[in-house]
Amino acid sequence: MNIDDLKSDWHRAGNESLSEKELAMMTRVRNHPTLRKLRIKFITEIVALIALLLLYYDGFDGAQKPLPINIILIMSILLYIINNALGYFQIQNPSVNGNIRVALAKQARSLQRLAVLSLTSSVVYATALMIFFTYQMVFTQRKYIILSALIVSSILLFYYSWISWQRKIAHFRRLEADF
Amino acid sequence: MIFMEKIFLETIGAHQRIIFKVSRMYRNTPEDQQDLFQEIVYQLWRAFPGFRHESKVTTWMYRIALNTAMASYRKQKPPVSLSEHPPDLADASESTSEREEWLFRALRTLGESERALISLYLEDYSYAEIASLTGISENYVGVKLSRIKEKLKTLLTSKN
Repeated sequence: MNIDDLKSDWHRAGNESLSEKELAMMTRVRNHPTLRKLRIKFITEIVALIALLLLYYDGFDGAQKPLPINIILIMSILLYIINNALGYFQIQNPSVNGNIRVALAKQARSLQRLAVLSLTSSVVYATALMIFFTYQMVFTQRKYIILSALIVSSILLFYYSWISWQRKIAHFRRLEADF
Repeated sequence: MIFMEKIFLETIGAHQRIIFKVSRMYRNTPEDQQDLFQEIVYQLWRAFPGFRHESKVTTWMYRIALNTAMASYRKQKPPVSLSEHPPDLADASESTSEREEWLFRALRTLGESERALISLYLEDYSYAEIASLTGISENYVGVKLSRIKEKLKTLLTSKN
């Protein structure tokens, strides 16, 4: 048995055929299996965050908080939106140019940058929200317990998010090393 | 734009076998293979304006297709097992689809980097071309391919 016998099967394989119309549909984001869902999620989040930006001042007594606290909240929301946009851009434009090793190395590097930005924006956003809503709050023991539980849950979420990012990055580094 | 899209669709349409093969090699289920097929077409379309015909169109398609297949991270699933016996390649009565199915199942038992190398080899690319597409030296391509061939031979002869 010669391994080259497999070549004829390989050359015969993949004889399914799609029409140009079907292929044309695949070039649109609205028909993309992942990007379409991500775009909907992204737009929904942006609408919700912009609504929060527009309403917090009246709805959550922004006027009664000092200016720096308001600025921190606004900046944190903007940072979160920027992070979402960059995440979408990364998924839409993975590194596919250049040879395979170069593309994998680029993919790992851009994911590492995105991981840092993602975690930073989440920490800043969560911290800003906590500062905003607890500013001038009269604390009772019950409120301290609730706040502590929130902080611990957030730290755990950040930790698992970081681990998940690192797993993805390690996957690409391992693939690059496999070559 | 419409003219470019027409050329793109004609080009991709003529060589869509490449996309089918890469999708089948890198994904286990038909649904995942369809999704990867679509993702590859989408990435080819985005990369098409930058294609300067410095290489053959099929080489360019292979590069984008393999990079796209490997660029999308998926949680590790249990390794594919090749419990079924390989078909007898000398037996003409063995149906083509059965042989094809076995071939892709066998390829999916390999690592992702090994699949890229063996697919280029099976497609009759020279060691120099494979080295240029993957970014490793020609010598190393030879070493890696020998190991992959050994693995496939073991699978092929497991029946006997």
